[in-house]
Amino acid sequence: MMKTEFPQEAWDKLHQLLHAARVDEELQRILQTEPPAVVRDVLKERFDITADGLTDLISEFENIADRNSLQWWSPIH
Amino acid sequence: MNRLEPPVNSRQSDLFQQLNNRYFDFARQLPPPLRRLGTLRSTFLGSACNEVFEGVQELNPVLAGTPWLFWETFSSLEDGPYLQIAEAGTMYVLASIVLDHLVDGQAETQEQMALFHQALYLHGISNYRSVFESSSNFWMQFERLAADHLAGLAKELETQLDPQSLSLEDLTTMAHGKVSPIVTTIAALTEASGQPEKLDPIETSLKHIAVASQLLDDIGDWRHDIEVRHITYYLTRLIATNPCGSGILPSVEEAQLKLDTEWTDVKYLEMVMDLLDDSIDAVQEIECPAWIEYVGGYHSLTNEHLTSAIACHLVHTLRSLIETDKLNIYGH
Repeated sequence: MMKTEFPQEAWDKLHQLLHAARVDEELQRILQTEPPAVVRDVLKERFDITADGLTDLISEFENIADRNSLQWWSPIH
Repeated sequence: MNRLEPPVNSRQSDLFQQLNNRYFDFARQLPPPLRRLGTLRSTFLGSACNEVFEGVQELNPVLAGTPWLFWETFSSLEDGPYLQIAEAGTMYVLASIVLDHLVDGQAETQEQMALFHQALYLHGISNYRSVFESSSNFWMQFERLAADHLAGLAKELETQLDPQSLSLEDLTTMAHGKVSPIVTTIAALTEASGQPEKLDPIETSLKHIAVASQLLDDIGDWRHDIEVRHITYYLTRLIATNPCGSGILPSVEEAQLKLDTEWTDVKYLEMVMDLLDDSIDAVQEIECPAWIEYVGGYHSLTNEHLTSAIACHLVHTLRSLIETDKLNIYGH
């Protein structure tokens, strides 16, 4: 659920990045292997994410990561 | 989701209650040490305590509730054969769970568990014999699936001895083997209901979910698997390309580094999603809404885990940017 203190614009950027990181293999490669300067440029150019917004963004991604700290399950075992 | 939801109509409910009663009738007539095993959750569910096993509804629905997950497909069977097959299938599948615990060394009381396995296995076979004559095609399927089961268990032993060679094909063989006793229940239902053509698509669906299930288990348990030195296919994907030393098993830290660098969990969760899609696709021509809902539920949960995994990796990447910025500031 969207938190009120997190601006809609930032929320949109977050979801764009989350979606792209899932479906775009080239972006995945950049995030995994390129040096920070390159990653920073890509985030700015593609998602308009700058250094100023990183801390809030990390906090929101942490929430998403924790949201699914469900017990691990499997369909048969 | 890991428990069987109460059946929704009275016939379903009555039959399920009768299956439960039959299990406890079976357990009660066993010699005392085995009787005790039959009433403990830990025998089937692996919990290391003396909690009482409350019934087959505690098990994952696929294990004992397969006939109910395919209710619309097989409800034309009369109560007698339906229940007889459900009982046979449950006992045979429970025997396979116990055997699994014995083979992978999880069973605490090996001797008693071996005897309990024998009791479950014989009871299952005896029920199948009461439904199918020796000339029935069911027995041909039974033998094929039993051979798959054995091959899967044997492959698991083999790969523990030579973990470096563990391939996706091996994982598939093991998963298909483990699901074979469940497929046997379906083979019995298709044969008894005069729908042998439905075995192949349902078997395909079950095999896809079996591989997905094994991968999910291994993705979720990788830290524990390193601790107990249990080799899985997923774990072998977390071994560095050029491992130091003998390269047998990574430490938790080494595996975490590999996972953070290559997003290994994301790759294999995507594979699980594809397998669950394939599982649903395989039964598109069959009326089995409960099964499709069951697989779909796991698809949704896997999707959530995938989102979570990507978010986790993004946290890692973005944090490293902040760390770099701090270093640059200090550097200047």
